[in-house]
Amino acid sequence: MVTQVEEAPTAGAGTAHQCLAYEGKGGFDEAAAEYLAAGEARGERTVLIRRDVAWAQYGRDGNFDPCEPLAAYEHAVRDARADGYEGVCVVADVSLFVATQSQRRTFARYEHLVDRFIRRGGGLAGLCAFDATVVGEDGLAHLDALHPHHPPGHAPFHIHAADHPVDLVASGELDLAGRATLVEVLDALAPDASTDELAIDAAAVHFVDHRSLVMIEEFAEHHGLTVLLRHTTDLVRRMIDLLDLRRVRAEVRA
Amino acid sequence: MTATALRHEALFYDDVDVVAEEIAAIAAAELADDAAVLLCTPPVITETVRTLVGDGDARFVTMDVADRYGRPIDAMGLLWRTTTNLLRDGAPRVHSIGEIAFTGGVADAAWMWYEAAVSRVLRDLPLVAVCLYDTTSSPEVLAMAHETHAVTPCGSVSPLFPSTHDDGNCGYHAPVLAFPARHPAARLDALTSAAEARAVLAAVAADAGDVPAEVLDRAHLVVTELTANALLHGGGSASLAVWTDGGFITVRVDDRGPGIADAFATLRPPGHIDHGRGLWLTHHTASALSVGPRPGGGTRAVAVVD
Repeated sequence: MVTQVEEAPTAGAGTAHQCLAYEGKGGFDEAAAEYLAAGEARGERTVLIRRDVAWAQYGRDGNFDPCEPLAAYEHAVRDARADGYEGVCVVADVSLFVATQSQRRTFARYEHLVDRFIRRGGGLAGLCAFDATVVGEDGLAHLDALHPHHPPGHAPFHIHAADHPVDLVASGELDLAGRATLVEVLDALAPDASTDELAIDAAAVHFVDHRSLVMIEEFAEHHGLTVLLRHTTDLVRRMIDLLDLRRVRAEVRA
Repeated sequence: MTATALRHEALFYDDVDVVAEEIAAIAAAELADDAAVLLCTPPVITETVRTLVGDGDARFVTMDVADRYGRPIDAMGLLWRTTTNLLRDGAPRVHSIGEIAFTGGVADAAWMWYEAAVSRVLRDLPLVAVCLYDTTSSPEVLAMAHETHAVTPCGSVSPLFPSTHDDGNCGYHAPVLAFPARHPAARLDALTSAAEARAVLAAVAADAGDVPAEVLDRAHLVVTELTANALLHGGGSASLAVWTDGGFITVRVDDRGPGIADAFATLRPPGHIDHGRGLWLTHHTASALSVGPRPGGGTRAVAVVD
């Protein structure tokens, strides 16, 4: 049974990074075929990576390096374009990379890096497929949170990469229920050392509690930067002020 | 003079001119010693001090009495924020001088609680907090001043009786906020998430039809923070009741945990503590808040948002 099937990408390569949680091989095959057919229709080279192949190639007995598959995708896009394709459309079953919390943390970093590559016009469309029976509900929530929101989601909020002028886009509700997820997501979002301000478009964030703001403050403190919440509410600005947060700034929506 | 921790003093006076001159002398000495001065006194005193001390020093801050002493949480917020900002700007200490306008009404109990709280929640700040008391104030107010401050007479005024100040609670508590004596518009007895509480609130507001969006946004924050506290510290579940009336919202969140031991929890500023910031935020965000024992055990929080 497929518990979450995304709309096939329609805006072309460079805009699509999606998450699929499936139960059973049939669910995976059906969603993968649909996703790849859409990529083919856009003129992209299509790639299907089943779980054993993905694990054999990058798993390395659990010593997964997030930069390695990213470099491979960059190379694949260059090759595809040289061969006349618009880009690469890939479906990868990555269930075995996230079987434990430790693996999931490493893989979440990869998710963010590849998301950033895709959002910034890398020429890649990707569907990350997770076997729900392997990953579990908590794991799905953490991984889902790093992808754009498509209901019915597993996470109460989503944070994904974006083009200039913001670095990230956030949506949903940030409160106690998503605290553990936010810890893992922030861990995955570690910016480049040269970044002194991380801008997050918060226009689609419907609610933030004080614990989440404090966690973002601690994230900013840890990385020596400030976090700018753009298009947020006056209430959030006032919360930042009342909590005396020094590294989180608010830009209130009109 | 040096100050590494709070000194909370009451200064009794019976002559406005005399006390103004004394405050001016204190302010001038503190400013000469690079300390900052925060003055929030009746206009007649403030103007005299300003004339004697001058207006040019950025470390000499005056504040309108009505702005500072609107509610205890606002007074605590302004005192804490102004003090910490002046310290960040390099002042070695802050000398705050203020006068609460006790009226003899029901609000006095809240201000007495505030005075007791200052001694407890700001105790680690290099702050001299001087509270002025006109000796014609009510006996209850003067007795409270003796209990919650070290006492300094002014001019010819002598302490009315020895100070019993001990920096402790002194038995002063926040007034308990009443909730409407009618059935709530919604009630949920087994809350397991703050999102559930927000959904209940949104449904009630939609039914009422006259709750402004800004009020509902603040009520969502208030109910979220109170529910989260109940879930984390109150045994893992909570019960919620909601009333609306004329565009404002009253919420009651109960838990069956061990109860709240800190009588000043809702006046405790953030910054130097790892927890409790939710109550500080909630107290500022709600129009009124009380958090105390629940009859039968646990904690009961009542908040009004309008």
